[in-house]
Amino acid sequence: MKKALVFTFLVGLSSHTFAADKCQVKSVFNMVAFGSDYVKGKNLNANGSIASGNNIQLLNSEIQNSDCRALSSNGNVTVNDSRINGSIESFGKLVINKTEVKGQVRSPNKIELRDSSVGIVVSPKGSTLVNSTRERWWTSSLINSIDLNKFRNDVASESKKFAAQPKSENLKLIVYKENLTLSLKNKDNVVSLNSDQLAKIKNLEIRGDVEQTLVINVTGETIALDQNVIDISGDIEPFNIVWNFHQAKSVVISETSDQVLGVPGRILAPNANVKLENALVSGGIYAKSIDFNVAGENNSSKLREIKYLDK
Amino acid sequence: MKKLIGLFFKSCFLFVMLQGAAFANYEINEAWSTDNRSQIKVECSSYTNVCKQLCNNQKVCVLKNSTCKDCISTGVKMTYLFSSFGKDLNSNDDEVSIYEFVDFLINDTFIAFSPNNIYNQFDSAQSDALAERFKVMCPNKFKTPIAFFKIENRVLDIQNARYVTCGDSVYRLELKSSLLE
Repeated sequence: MKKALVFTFLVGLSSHTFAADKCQVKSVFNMVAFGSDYVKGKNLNANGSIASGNNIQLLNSEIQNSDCRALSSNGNVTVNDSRINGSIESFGKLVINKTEVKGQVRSPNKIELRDSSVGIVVSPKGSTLVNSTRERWWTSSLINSIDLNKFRNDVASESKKFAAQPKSENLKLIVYKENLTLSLKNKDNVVSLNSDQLAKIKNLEIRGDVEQTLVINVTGETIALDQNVIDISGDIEPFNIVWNFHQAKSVVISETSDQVLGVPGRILAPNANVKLENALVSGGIYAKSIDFNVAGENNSSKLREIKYLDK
Repeated sequence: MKKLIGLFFKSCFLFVMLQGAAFANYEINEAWSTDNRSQIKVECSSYTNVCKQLCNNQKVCVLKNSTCKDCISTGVKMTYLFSSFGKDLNSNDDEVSIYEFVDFLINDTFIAFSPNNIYNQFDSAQSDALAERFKVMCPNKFKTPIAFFKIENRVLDIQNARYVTCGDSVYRLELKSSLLE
């Protein structure tokens, strides 16, 4: 009996520890999107954790991050007509309207729920429920916070570091009409393009293997990736591709959503507003602010956390 | 026992490594139709749009491998052709954009040769040696390359050598001899 109790305790402890490890956010790059100023989404379908140093607004969106953090914000969070599979935490005002949250909602302030259902409400000030259900309420003031201010600095310093790297001498650029193939030769590869060159590329093929990394430094204040087809060949992993828009103030990625990976890789744009319009990014976006699908009533944008391809 | 366990883990590791090494986003091979006609089969993984661009199918494209008028013979041209692979006909390590190759497959009439091609009347008894010479054309050491020639009016001109496919890499194929110029 004693042995059984010890075993049960250990199993319970290990699963708890596992869940905590799984949900730990050690770096901003564990997230699928981070906007230091804000994240706004309409018709967004995201797989992974989204965070903002300030406010998050979502409308008609679906966020999948199982039992972990789906949304984290230093400011206000407003979610309307959405489905959130994961937890939400906000240090500001948390308002959830016509939304199902499969997880906890956490805030030091009173949480507003209208026509919604949530798992556990964690707030010392409780919640206002209008036509809503909650499974439980914990009065704890403990918010399992992450250092979003540090993340802002991490994105900026990472971008700066990549921008300073010299371009690789023996990386092969194969140009054919409006198509570009980048054939990687080193373990770590750096290529530089300007925003005009990038805008002219119709098809981009990135050819590399599983151990290789690629940084694409793009200069220019305004970046547009419109209907570009980006293929990867060989074993290179999307997480090992970095798009570094270090000078950008505006980045617009549009009409890529019918493609397989859309834009594969991590997008770093610490000083830019990044807009996705009916677009797909398979990797992550780390920017000053992010607008998902600001244009087009019937469009949707997708954001997938793909670190390793399923081969 | 310890050795056996070590061997088991080594085998698992090798298996995983080989599985990883076998992955390519597109592969180009010769295939045969039910009525024994040579075809070029392009198979794409789910991470590339190459097949979609080529035939508007996400996974596989089957293309007609053309025939040429005077190719089933042991005449000088075909003898020279099959003895040239990996020697006078070589890739020169010039990697080509997959988009250029897709354009070629869409817009040109072509004939493609692999080592076991039916047109090889010259040294079919030495197919292993020919396969080895074919491999020489692939800087990435791919085992089953295919050489592509542009043909016009079903006439094969060896100087119209265009590309050699080596797995998911394509190289420009060049005739380096001036014998037939």
